[in-house]
Amino acid sequence: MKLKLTFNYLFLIVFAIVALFPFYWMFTTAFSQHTFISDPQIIPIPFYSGAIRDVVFRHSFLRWIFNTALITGIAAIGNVLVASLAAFAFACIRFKGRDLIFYVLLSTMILPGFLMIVPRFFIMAKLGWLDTYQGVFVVFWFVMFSTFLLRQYYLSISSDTLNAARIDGCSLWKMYTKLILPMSKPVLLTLFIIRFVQVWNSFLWPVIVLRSNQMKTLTVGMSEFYGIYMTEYNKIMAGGLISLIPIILIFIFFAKQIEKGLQFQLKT
Amino acid sequence: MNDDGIRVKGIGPYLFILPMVVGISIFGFYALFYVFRLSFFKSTLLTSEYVGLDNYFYIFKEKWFLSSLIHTLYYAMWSVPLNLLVGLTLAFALYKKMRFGTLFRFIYLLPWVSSTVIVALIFRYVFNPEWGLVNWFLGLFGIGKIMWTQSYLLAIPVIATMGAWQSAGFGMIIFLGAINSIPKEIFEAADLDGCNEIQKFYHVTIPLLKPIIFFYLVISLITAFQVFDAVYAFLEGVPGMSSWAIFTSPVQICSYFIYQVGFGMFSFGRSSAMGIVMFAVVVILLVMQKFLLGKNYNFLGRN
Repeated sequence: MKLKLTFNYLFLIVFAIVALFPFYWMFTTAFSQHTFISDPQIIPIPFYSGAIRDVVFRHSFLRWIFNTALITGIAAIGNVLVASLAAFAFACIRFKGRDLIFYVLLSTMILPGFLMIVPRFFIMAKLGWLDTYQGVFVVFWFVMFSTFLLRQYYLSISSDTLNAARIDGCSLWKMYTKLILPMSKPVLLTLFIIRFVQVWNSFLWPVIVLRSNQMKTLTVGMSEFYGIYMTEYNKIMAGGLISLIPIILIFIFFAKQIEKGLQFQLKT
Repeated sequence: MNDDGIRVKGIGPYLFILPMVVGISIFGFYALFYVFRLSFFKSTLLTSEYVGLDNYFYIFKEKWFLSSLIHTLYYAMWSVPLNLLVGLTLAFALYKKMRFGTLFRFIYLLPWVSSTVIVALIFRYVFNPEWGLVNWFLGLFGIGKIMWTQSYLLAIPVIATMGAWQSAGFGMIIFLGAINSIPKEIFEAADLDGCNEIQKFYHVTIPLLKPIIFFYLVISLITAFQVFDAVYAFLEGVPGMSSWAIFTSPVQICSYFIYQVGFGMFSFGRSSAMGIVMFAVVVILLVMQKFLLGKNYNFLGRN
């Protein structure tokens, strides 16, 4: 039993090293004077911040981080709002055509990203939203996964509670803002965080909409680094390091929510 | 739980679902209609001309698209079992109350939180034939330099490995959730019957997890068919990598092909037709899943 546990820990540690080593490798290379490091060093000696400085001054990382944060924030908040509005109606109210509408909407979950890029690009071109923030974030609002998830959660609210609220003169809107939203805060936060991470890392859609350098998100900007620096790995890794910092900070603060959010996938 | 919601007269409830309905109508259904229509047109950014089924004939006549389909299958062949193996192993290693369990889970999730584009930048470096970490490591055992990205036979498994590395934590969380929801009494009953650990594993845990394993296989398969970011970040900036070079590049993957034909060569009609064909493949996979899982599927096999 003890042997088994030791073995277990050994495995966990080995895998933790496998999981962390590429990050560490990126870190040491970013602070290396050479364009690459040929064997692992414990601490990069000599500690050289030239690559980082070079990359930071040559690219608009601050702007890219701002763009990504803005697009991601609006996308995630919008999605949670639109989804919770719809989920409340689908879960708590009986109305004509409810289930039909719900399942028809739900069917869009199977539409793959590669199929949607061309038509959505044309729609955005018609709206004149290419190379704008709204061109990116608006499509992220209408993700049925979030509606489905919140509906599952709202289904457990009993009609008696809502009827009682109605007898007290509560309108549907008041029910939603005064009752539903406050009581579902934890699940809304979890959903927000998980959508935030997903949109933050999204690439296929932003790379199509965003063209000019000032509008780029981090993933779009970073995708060009090999084309710019070719084999100057220290600069490529420096860029990677800078662009990972914000999302890793978010992960540190919201690790619990992210874990819970991933388990949501089970329920779909 | 069984109540079906409050009755409300009037348009109230419809106002609540309105934003979602409008958005999905435009960016879901209208877009689907649009791409379907576009697949019958020879369309660039400026011109558009009806050509009937020509685009479909084109993609089946020329071997590129079919070969990219084969590459995608080859990718799935590597990525699906790898994902499953890594996720399951991690979950089994972690499901007991372990010291530092939270820390380990945190570490394994770190790759998942990082964006694929940046992860791919790191892995291109790690698998660089000359200076990469992998060849350095293999060199310790006297193995010569392997050209990881020169042929698709090696490049695709490399990308699949990266994918497995990145989604290990995701698989782990999914399986941990499933393992933890197995009722303790089942294990206690097995103990009373004199089962040892290995017997419990094979006769209790694995059978109970079968549905969730299947579910995860299907998710991985569908994700594998849509892989884009990793391939893009692996190919971008390769010398001589113009949009035409997709026809000769070592890694042709469907979604990347669709992207390049559309946004690299501005043949939106052909790109749309490819998208429709690939979508049909995904739908077939989904139908197979529904068929194999049955209707009243519950991941613990209880109702």
